[in-house]
Amino acid sequence: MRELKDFLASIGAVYEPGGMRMNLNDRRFAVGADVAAHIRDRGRMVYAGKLLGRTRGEFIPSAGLLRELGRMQGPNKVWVDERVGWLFACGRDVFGESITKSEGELEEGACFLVMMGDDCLGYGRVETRGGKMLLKNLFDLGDFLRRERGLEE
Amino acid sequence: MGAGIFLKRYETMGHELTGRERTRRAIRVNTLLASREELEEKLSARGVKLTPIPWLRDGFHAEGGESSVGASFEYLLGLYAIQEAAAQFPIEVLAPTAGEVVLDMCAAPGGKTAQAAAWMGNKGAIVAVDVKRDRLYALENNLERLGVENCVAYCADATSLDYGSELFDKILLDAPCSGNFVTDREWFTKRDIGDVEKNSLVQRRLLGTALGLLKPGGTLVYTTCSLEPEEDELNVQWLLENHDVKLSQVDGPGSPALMEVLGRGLSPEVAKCRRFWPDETGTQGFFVAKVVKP
Repeated sequence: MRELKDFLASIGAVYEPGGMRMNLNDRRFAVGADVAAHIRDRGRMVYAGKLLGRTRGEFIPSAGLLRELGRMQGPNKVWVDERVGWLFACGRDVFGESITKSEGELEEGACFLVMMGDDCLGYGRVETRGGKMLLKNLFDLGDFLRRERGLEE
Repeated sequence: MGAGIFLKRYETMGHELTGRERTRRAIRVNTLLASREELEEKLSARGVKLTPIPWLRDGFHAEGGESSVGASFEYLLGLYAIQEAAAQFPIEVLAPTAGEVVLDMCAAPGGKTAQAAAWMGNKGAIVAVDVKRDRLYALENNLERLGVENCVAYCADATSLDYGSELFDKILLDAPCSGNFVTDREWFTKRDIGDVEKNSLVQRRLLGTALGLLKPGGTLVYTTCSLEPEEDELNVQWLLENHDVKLSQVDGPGSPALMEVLGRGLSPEVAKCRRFWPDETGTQGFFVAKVVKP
């Protein structure tokens, strides 16, 4: 899973998912032994174990992986308040002045988890726009609402 | 066909329904990611009042709050699921435990699958099956958001499910059914008795398949959200007449299942099942049977 390794490197995280690795189209899973023992028909399988993320050009981590990384010491993190957190969850970028705390070097191209307290809301990449630093939104948990809306339509 | 014929049927079963009964908003604490206390504290800070539903382990009625319970940080973080109260009851009856192997036969959109995973503490395995690929996307989203890690899901027709020689400790058959008017305002204009009869035949095929996949001594929970006896008591009666099974008593809210429907007397065993009437439980219509394979 090169894409996963590249993603982890981009946020400065060291993480090795347990269980058997499994690919389903563009999705990457880690499947524990209890579940792997009960897989019978991979052709019709649509989900298995823990979703690690999706590969769409670059690796997009799952909510579960972000949750785990958010609890770990080591990955690059920025913290925001609730107002900025909600804007981020709505797909917006985070401006540098809205970051209340950070761990890791906020340098161009580096990726950071976006934290609100102990919770990880997504992640983004440091960019400069109009001479100002911002964290470009690459994935946020509001994606669940956007997916649900897509399914309803 | 209109509301009249159905409301008249319910009246003959002892319930004078108006057709305007509605259910209260309910959520389920996702114990994989949060405790009841933690969620109560967080939602209370947002002005949401949670009231425990006494007959559910993890269920609450949710009232108030500035934003929708379907669009909060806590929802996105998977700390709770929006799940109607009656729809939380089947897993309470199935009571899956860590290490068991459970089959969820008509699993999408995955609310009960995720609830089963929470009861199992993400240990053991859940095999979730649904025939409709488009509905499985919702299941996948729910499994991801709610942190479920002990499930394998398939797009397959459960009426002819072949799982090799493997048998399951427990099976949930939340069968596709006619639904009920409480959760669908257009229900009376969409349904007729022909639909009910067609669904009943599919449900019997599913029941037969389920019993073939169940371990001796295993438990099958059969549920519908239909108030129509063809999909409920008459299917259980059919099961008793055509398969070697026993029924276990289902205790909880609502009423014992009917022993006489549409002019036909049923086995007293059928009364061990549970029927949720909207005027009694304040929920949608629901039916739950607990079947044990000797």
